[in-house]
Amino acid sequence: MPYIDVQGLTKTFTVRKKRDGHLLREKSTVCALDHVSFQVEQGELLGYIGPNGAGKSTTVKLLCGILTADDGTVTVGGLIPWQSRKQHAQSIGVVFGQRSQLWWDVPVIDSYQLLRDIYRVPGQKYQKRLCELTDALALGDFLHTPLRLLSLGQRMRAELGGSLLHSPKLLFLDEPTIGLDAVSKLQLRDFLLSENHAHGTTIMLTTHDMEDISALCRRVLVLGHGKKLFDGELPALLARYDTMRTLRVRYAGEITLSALPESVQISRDGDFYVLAYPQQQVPTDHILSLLQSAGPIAELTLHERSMDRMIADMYQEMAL
Amino acid sequence: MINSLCLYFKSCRMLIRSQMQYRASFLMQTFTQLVMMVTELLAVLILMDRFSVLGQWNRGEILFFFGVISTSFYLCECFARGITQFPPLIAQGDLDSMLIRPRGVLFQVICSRADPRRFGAILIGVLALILGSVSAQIHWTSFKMLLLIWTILGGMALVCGLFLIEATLSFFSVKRIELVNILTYGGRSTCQYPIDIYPRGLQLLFTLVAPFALTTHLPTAYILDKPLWGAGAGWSLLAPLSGFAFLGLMTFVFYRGLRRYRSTGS
Amino acid sequence: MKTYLAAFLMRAKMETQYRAAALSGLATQLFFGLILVYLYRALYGAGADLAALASTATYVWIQQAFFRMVCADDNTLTAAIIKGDMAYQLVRPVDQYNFWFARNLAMKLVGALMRAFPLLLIAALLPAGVGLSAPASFGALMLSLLSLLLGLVAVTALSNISAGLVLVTLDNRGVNAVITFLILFLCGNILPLTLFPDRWQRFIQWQPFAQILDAPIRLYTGEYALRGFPQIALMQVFWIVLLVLIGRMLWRHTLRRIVIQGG
Repeated sequence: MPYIDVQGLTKTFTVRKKRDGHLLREKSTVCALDHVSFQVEQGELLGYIGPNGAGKSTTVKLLCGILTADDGTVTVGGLIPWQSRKQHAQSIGVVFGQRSQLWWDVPVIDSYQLLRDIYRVPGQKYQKRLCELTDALALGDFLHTPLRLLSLGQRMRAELGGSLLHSPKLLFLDEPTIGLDAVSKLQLRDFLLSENHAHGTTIMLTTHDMEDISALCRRVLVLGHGKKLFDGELPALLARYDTMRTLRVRYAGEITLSALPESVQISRDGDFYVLAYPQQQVPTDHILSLLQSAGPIAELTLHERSMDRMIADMYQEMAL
Repeated sequence: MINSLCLYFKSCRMLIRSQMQYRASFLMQTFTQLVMMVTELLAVLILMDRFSVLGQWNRGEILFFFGVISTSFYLCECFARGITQFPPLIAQGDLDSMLIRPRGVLFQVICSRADPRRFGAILIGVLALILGSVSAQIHWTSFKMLLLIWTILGGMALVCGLFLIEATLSFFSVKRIELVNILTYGGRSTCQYPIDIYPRGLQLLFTLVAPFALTTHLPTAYILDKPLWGAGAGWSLLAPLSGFAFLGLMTFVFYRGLRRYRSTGS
Repeated sequence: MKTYLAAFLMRAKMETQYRAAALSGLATQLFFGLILVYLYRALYGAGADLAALASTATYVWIQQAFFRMVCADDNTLTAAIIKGDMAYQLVRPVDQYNFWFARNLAMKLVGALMRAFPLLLIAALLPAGVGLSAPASFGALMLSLLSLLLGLVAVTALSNISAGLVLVTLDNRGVNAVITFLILFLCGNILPLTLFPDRWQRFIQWQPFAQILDAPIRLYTGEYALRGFPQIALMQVFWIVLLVLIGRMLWRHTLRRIVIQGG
């Protein structure tokens, strides 16, 4: 039996809009989740993506037991989150990138001690876990500093430590790297991988940062307008949208480009020829050999489309 | 239960340490509370100086009534401040953070705030009790002592319950509904003075809806040896239970509201 | 001048948007008014002097009606100061004191008018000794309105001082709360100034807070004779000038400090 089992999960919200001049508000219903099903095995790292308003945070709230579902079933480790809220809460950790669960004005360690009491972590286990997290997240420098004096990167590490103190089996991360510098981002990703590896912690990552996803998750789940649009490995998803390649080439002398396949588009940019071609139909090495035969090449660059670009295309396609 | 109580006091200690980070501001606000309370006491003294009696009650007795209500009210505000701060808490989305923790929601709400600034106000309330007791020449017995403590506890529960009304309403509306203040702050202002001086409608409001008259006035009047509505020792001992009953009812209603929040989202 | 008029009108318009708040405020004030009136009825006792009772009830109702004028503060200002947005404000080529004065004035005037008319109407319909009595004379009504306008300016000047103190202490809860409460107490909202001990009356009538509502009310009920009006108005104007001077000094001093510190 999978660790997380979601079947036909449906959630609608009633939105009230107040129009100018009208006394009564107009009601309308929005379907945040429309019969979504998926399974996650223990120890999996799952990326959960989709444009804003796709229903990602609603799913997370349902899985955390904050909200109750309208229809469908959810079990996490055999429990229905909203029915066995307290018991379920004991085995999950949540990090909301924008919101803090630690206390703002007191040293981090004090927050941790309170969390220990809230989650009823036994003393010895707490000490061991704290040491482990202090090492892995390099918390030592600021454990005794009030949260409000920490940098963004330190704060995120402290948050992560706090949400893992009770050794949850399942960790929800919502935009964990937002606003972090490159070094902090890399550290955070390394930590998540090692945590997943060492404890078999199941991690569900919601983010707009595609680098996070590609660095951490093999499997991604794409949500749009409350519906599941894709569930599979990241490379397979990208292959769908990673079609066109661009090549820029400059020759030493004057040449004429001929005998290129019809599907290649050529344009000029100063001394450069810019070639765009569908990679699947015209393999790159074929193009290269054709270019080489045309004359001596002075400079050549190959452009891959950025992942963000592909995702943007994907979202655009979904909107249609 | 003991575990929870421990956790509550640890939370309180942490909140006080948080507030101490802004010492000047904290002292200023404590001072503010003290000034307000002294002024309120002064207002009662000025009135009793001009009129000397209010219905069947003299200055000392009025001070004693004032002391009972103030002590209960500010003790409640001090220890259950989280409930009064629930509307902003829900607006900021902090309720979600509470729902992902393995503890009761209302318990966490109470743990989320404590208001040590009210100590000054509580002190003035106790001062009024002492002044009133001396001036009214109360014949203290151990039963009356216990009854007073029981009454104040009942009063705290009642005020807590009243604050829960506004907290529950914030599940349904993002706007703060000032009208509820009629029962809380209005109740405190009204019931600083014994209920029998007011017309029938107000008496009913504060006996049946927000039962200050039962919870605090009945036993207080007994302590002053001027029983209200012929209530003897037995009834006076039972009366503060109404405060706890009210709190129980409002807790139930609060959890119904929470259930709605969890099914509709915010 | 045009800038300040625009600030005034903008805030005034904003205030009219808060109709629901005005309605619930109206209900709250009505309730507190009733409680106080019944308290005073009980205090005056069974063999009460009806004239004194009616005058006290009138005092209570007018105080309740203009509650918003006394204690509404434009908290966008204090919020701006605390959050450090004051720097943006300082960029604008306006006199900060006048700008906030105009906004506060608008808020207090419109906020009070929205609540005062319905509340006074309801109070006037209540039986004598519980409700609002008619003014002592037509002249008393007119002069009390004039005096009320001066009171409005005085309370706005006070509110600007309070905001100025927030600028100094950077603490919007402590200072403002204490000042608001002192204003409420000393202007006669919590307890009519007429009920203070007789030996305090001279001092009570001269202090700045009495110029806000107490003076207009005493003109209305006829406690102040009409021929004493010039003296009363002079007292009000005296305090207005003094309060504005203090406020301006405070603002100039602290704004300079903010500029030096760089916000």
